[in-house]
Amino acid sequence: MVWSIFAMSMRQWLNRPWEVVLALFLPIVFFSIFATIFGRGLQSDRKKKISISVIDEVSDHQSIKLIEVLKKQGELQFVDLTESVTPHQQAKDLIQRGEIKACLVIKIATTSESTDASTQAIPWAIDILSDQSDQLAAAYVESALQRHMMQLAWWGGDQSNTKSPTWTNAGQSAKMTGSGRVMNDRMTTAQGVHLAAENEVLLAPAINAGTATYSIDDGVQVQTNQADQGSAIRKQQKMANRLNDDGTGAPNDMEMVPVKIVNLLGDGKANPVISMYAAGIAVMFLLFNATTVGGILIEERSNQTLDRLLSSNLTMDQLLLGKWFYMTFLGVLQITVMFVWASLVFKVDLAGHFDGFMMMTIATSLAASGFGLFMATLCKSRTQLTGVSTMLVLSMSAMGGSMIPRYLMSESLQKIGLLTFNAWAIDGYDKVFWREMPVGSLAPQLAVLALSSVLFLCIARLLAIRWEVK
Amino acid sequence: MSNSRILDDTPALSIQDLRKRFGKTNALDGVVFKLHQGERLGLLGPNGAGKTTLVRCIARRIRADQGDIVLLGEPMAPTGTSPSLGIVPQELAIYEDLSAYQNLYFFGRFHGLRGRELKHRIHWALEWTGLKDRSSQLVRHFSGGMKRRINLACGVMHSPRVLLLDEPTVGVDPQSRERIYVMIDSLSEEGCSILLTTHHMEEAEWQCDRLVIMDRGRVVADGTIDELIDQSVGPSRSVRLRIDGHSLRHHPREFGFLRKWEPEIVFRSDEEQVVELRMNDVAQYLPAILEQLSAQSVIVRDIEVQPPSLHDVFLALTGKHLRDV
Repeated sequence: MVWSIFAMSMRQWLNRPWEVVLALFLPIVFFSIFATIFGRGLQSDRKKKISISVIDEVSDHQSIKLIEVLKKQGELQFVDLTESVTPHQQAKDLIQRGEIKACLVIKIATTSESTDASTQAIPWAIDILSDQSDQLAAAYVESALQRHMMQLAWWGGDQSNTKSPTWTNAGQSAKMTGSGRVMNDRMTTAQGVHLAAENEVLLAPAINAGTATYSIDDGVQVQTNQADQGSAIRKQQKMANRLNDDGTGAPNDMEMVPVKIVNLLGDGKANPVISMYAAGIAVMFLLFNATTVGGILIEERSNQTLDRLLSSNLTMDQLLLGKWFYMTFLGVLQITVMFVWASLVFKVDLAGHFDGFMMMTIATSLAASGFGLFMATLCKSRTQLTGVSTMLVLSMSAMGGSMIPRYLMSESLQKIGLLTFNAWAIDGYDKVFWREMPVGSLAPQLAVLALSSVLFLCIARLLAIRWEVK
Repeated sequence: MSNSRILDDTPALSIQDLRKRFGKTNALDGVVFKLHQGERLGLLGPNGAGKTTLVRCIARRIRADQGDIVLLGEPMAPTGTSPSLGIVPQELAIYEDLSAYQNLYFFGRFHGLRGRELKHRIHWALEWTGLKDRSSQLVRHFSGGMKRRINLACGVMHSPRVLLLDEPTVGVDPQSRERIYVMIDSLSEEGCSILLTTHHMEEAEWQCDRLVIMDRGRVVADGTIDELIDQSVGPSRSVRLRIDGHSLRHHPREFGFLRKWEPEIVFRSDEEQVVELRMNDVAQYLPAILEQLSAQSVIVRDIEVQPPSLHDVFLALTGKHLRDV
C-alpha cells in the first residue's frame, strides 16, 4: 500500500512537467547564478572597477610618486577632478552620485593624527572619503594604498630596478622582493642592515613555523604567508621609522602614515544594508505577489467567469486596466507597509524621504503589475504560471541585487542585472534613502520602470486578444 | 418584467444556417431553429454535438464562419453584446471570495445598472433566490444549490428578454433543482424567452415547451415532445413484463414468439426476470401475448405499459454509441 502511494505520487509528479522543471532545474539555475557570482572569489573581476579620485594637498615628490605608483598599478580607475569647483565638494558630489567609490585626500598630518608629526618619516595623513554602502570598496582601496605606500617607502616604486618590489599573489603566499635600498631619505644602508636583523627577530615565529622565509642578499627578501604579510609589513614600516641614523634601534615614536576611512554618506543614517535589503526584498515580493494575483485571471478564464464578464458591458481593455490598477495599489500598499516597519524598527528615515519613496514605489509597482499581467496572459494554467513565474522572479531577484548586493558581482553580471526591475528599483531606493539625491535624479529609474510597465501591459493586451472572440 | 414584453410574433432568437469549423471538425454544420418570444426551448444533444459552440456563438464568444443570429428581429453584430441577452454559463462563474450581495452588485454594475435601480434589482434577486438571509455570507460557504441560484441571478440582473441557460441544474440535489425550476418559471411568466441546454431528459421534457436535438453539428429534430415522438419512435409503447425467473431460463424456445417485438430481457434474479417489449398497438397484441404465456405456465407477476419518452426519442435519433470527443 505504501509503495502504491509512492508510485502514484511519482506518476502524478511526472505527469506535471512544470513541477519537474521547478524541482530539478530551478536549483541548477540558481546555483549557476551564485557560482558565477562567487566562483572566482569576491572582487576577483574588479581589477579596474574601483573608481577613485585623489586630492593631493601635500603635493611633494613623495605624494606625487605615490599617486604615480597607484595609477601605474592598474587596480584603481582614477577620475580626475576638475579645477573649477572646490575639489572636496566635487569629490563628495561624485561619491554621492555613485560615480566614484572613494577619494584619497593626501594631507599634512595634524597634531591629533600624529603624535609627533615633525619626526614622522612621511608627515602625511590620508583620508579615504567613501560611501559606506559599498562595504568592500573602501577596504579594498585602503589595502591597495597601504601596499603601495610600503613599496614606495622601501623601494621608491621604481619598476625598472631589477630588484624593485614585485608583489605577487600565489595562492596562499605572497612574495615581496626588492633591493635593500629604502627611499626614505633618513634610512641609510646601516639602517637597512639593522632593519634586516630586526626583521629576522620580527619574523622569527613565522620562520620557525615554516610559514615565512627571510634572507638578506643584496636585498631584503621576505616571503611569508598572505595572512601574515599585513601585520609583518606594518611592523616593518614601524621599525623603519623608528631607527636612528646610525642604524641603532631607538624608539622615536614615529608612526606610519595614518589612514582613515571617512564615511561621507552615513552620518545619522541607519545601516545602508537595511534600506538596500528593504528595497531588494520588497521588489522580489512585489513580483511574486503580482504573478499570484495575475493568476486569478487564469482562474476566471477556466471557470467561464471571464466569458460572463466579456458578455456584459465590460471590455477587455477595461478589465485589464482595472486589474492593473488593483495590482499596482496592492503593490504600493505592500511596499509601504514594509518600509513603515523598517522605519519603526530599523530606523530607516521614511518620513524624510517620502516623496522619493512614493515615486519609486508607484513606478516599481506599476512595472511589477504589468509583468504580472503579462505572465497571466502568457500562461495557460495556474500550474504553468507558478512554474514560470517562480523561475523568472527568483532569477531576476538574484541577478538584480535583491538577494546579494550587485557590487559583489563582476562587471558583466552587474550589466546583466540591469535587465531586471530589481536593479533599477534598488538603485532608485538607494538614491532616495542612502545618497539623498534630489527626486530629479530618479529620472532614469522612473523612466525605465514606467516604460517597462507600459511595454508589459501592451504585450498582455495583445495576448489577451485570443481570449476575446475566437 | 411582464407578459407585455412579448410584443409581436418576431422570434426572440433566430439561428440561420450557422456554421463553425475548428480545424477539420464541423462543430456547427448549418444549424437552423427559432426561439419564440416567451417560449422555453430545450437544446439537447450528445457530447460533442455542438451545443456549447452554439451557445458561445450566440453569446458572441465565438465568431461563426457563416450564418446569422437574429436577436429580437435585429441581426447581432459579430462582436459586442446586447442588453437584451442574458447568459448563465454551466460553470459557476461567480466570485467565491465575495458575498452574495457583492456578486450581485458587481455583475449588476458590469451590466450597466447603477444607483437605485441596482439596489432594487439586488433586493429582487436575493428574494428570488431565497438567499436574503445569507446576503452577506461569502459564496465560498454556500452549498452547490445555493451557488447555482446565485449563478443564475447574476445572469439576469439586467432583466434580459432572452436568456441562455447552460445546464442550470447540473450537480444539485432534487430540492435545489426544484427551486431553480421555480425561479425559471417566474422568468417565463414575466415573458423572458429561454434557451436551455441540458442532459437531463426529464428536465427537458417537463420544463421545456419545445425541444431541439442536435447531433454532429446539425439539428436532427425540432418540435414539441409529441412531435418528436411521432417523428422518431412513433406511437409505440414500452411494455414491461415481470415474469417468474425459472420459466424463461428453462424454456427459452417457448419465448421465441416474442422475437417480433424485439424483446429486451433483463435477468434480475433467479426468481424474477423483466421482459421489455415495444409495440404500437398494445390493445391488440398484449392480450395475445399474455394468453400464450399463460398457456406455457409462465407466471406474469406484473405488467407495465409506458408511453415513449424523450429518452427513447433521443436514443432513437442519436444512437446508443458513446461520443468520445
